[in-house]
Amino acid sequence: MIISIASGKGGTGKTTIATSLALSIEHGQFLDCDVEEPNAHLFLKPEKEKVETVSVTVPEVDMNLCTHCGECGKICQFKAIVSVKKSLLLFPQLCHSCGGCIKACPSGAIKEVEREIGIIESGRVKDIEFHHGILNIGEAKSPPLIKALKKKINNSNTVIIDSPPGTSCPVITSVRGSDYVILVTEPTPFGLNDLILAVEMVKTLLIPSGIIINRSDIGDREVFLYCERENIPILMEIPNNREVAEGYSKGKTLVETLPELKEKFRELFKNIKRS
Amino acid sequence: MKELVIISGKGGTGKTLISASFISLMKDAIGADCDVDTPNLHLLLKPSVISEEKYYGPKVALLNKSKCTLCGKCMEEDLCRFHAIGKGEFPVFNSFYCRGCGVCIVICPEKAIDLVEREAGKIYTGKTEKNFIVYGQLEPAQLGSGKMVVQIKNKARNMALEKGLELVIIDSSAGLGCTVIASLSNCNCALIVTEPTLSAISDLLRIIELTEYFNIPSFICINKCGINQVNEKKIIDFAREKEIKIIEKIPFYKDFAINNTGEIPVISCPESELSQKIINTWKKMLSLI
Ligand code: SF4
Ligand code: SF4
Ligand code: SF4
Ligand code: SF4
Repeated sequence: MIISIASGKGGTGKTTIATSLALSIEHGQFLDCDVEEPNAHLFLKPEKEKVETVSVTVPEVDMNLCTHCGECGKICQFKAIVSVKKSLLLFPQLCHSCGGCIKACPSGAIKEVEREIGIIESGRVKDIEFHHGILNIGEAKSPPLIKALKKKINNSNTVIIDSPPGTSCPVITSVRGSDYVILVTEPTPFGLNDLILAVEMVKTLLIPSGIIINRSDIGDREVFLYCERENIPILMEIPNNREVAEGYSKGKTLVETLPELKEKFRELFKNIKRS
Repeated sequence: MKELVIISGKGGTGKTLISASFISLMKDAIGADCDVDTPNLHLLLKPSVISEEKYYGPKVALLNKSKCTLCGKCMEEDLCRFHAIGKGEFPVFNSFYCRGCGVCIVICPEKAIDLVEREAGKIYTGKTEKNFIVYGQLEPAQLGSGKMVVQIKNKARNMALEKGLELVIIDSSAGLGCTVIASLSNCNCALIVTEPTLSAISDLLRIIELTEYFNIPSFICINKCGINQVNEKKIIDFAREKEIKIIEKIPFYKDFAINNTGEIPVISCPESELSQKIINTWKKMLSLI
């Protein structure tokens, strides 16, 4: 069973929920798919066991074979290979690794080489297998790294995915294939606005979802009314708490500050499994 | 004309509130909301929309069945690296997976496949009492957020040039991938809004590497001060090491967090301590751009 934790808006408490859920279930796999800004390790503090590099393929041109016909530049939709008169310009960061230029080259001058885009670090926290990706600085595209990270998934496990914020490519790549998505929000006008967008996203992906309302006693009642209207289950409400906020600032998880919540998270997990 | 981008790496540090405050303190500035997945700036600034245009995302492959002879070439294993072409009676093109790379089009002997535009959202121009803002909404689960950011920025820039305005204030999204890179590119300077939590610090270190990578002068504003002194000190030490100026430390205002109902404090209660802090930040920022 794969459960993703997502939210349209950043900073609502995705990582807080994901890490606490994992520590309450106490087994399975944890994947931090927020490869632009991975933070779950600050809370789970896994023992690092392995580091791998992740690469994508990009073209390399043998100028001795190139006849400057310009076909490669014509097929490339991303302006990653441009042929101007007697020279060829390559912009590897724009390349989508589609392989088009290689197929188009009549002289066999292009071959694919690997270009590193980031790393995957793996480790263990008690019985939980931990993996996260770290995207290299200046790298624009996170989906290839997220895909590589998701290859770690073993389907017989319970898998918790901490997904990046937003509603487009990185999030879709993270949550696609999940059995359930937990959306984390807070009861403010922004929280509601972004929740509605996140709900639309999971609906498009046809994944069942439920909501956790963080800092549930701040703001107003609109988020609650929305969930009721749309018939979206509210899985849990977590009140605002100074102790939790201070713990968070130090890298302390929610269930470490409030151990009584562990039972609630286990209950929540059972309910999701049953549904 | 100058461009100032407000970034944070981590979400929820108060970026949008700072951006909205800065914009409302200006007259004749243009704001650009470059968080196209979940734009929030307009919720604070409440502009009236003066124009709206369709946004077309990356192109996608579309099959013209009447031309297809079922030769099977496009369905060959590994032809489409994005697994967007499925096998059926006819080839099935999945527009969610298609990246519009054009490989299938070149391979098709019957020219039965085209790349077509796909509407993926809207870009709005709004007017507030004193300023303009440009913002967009990408449809949920669509691709092409980076491209939309580029269009929003171009629009804001052109408006500023046309109207002879001095400044574009850009509110970036969280993270440091494609949309943030698009928000940052060509800006004159960046204000990084952070908070004294371990997560925010971890993200701060990475976002500073990014601004260095693109050679953009940056400044730091620490929001929510008081929740963790040790972490505050870490940020200050790190900024010193990197020679980045911390322009303001804004205390954590519990009342404000709790009553967060979409007001901009510098407008709704300009006399408050929080507002004074933000106004100060703005004055310092203006003198530095
Ligand atoms: S692999 Fe595709 S995206 Fe990359 S350069 Fe070649 S044609 Fe362009
Ligand atoms: S298609 Fe091949 S031969 Fe033609 S310009 Fe490109 S690399 Fe050179
Ligand atoms: S355009 Fe590229 S990604 Fe889209 S279906 Fe064709 S080969 Fe696949
Ligand atoms: S390559 Fe063209 S003609 Fe052949 S199956 Fe595909 S679409 Fe049809």
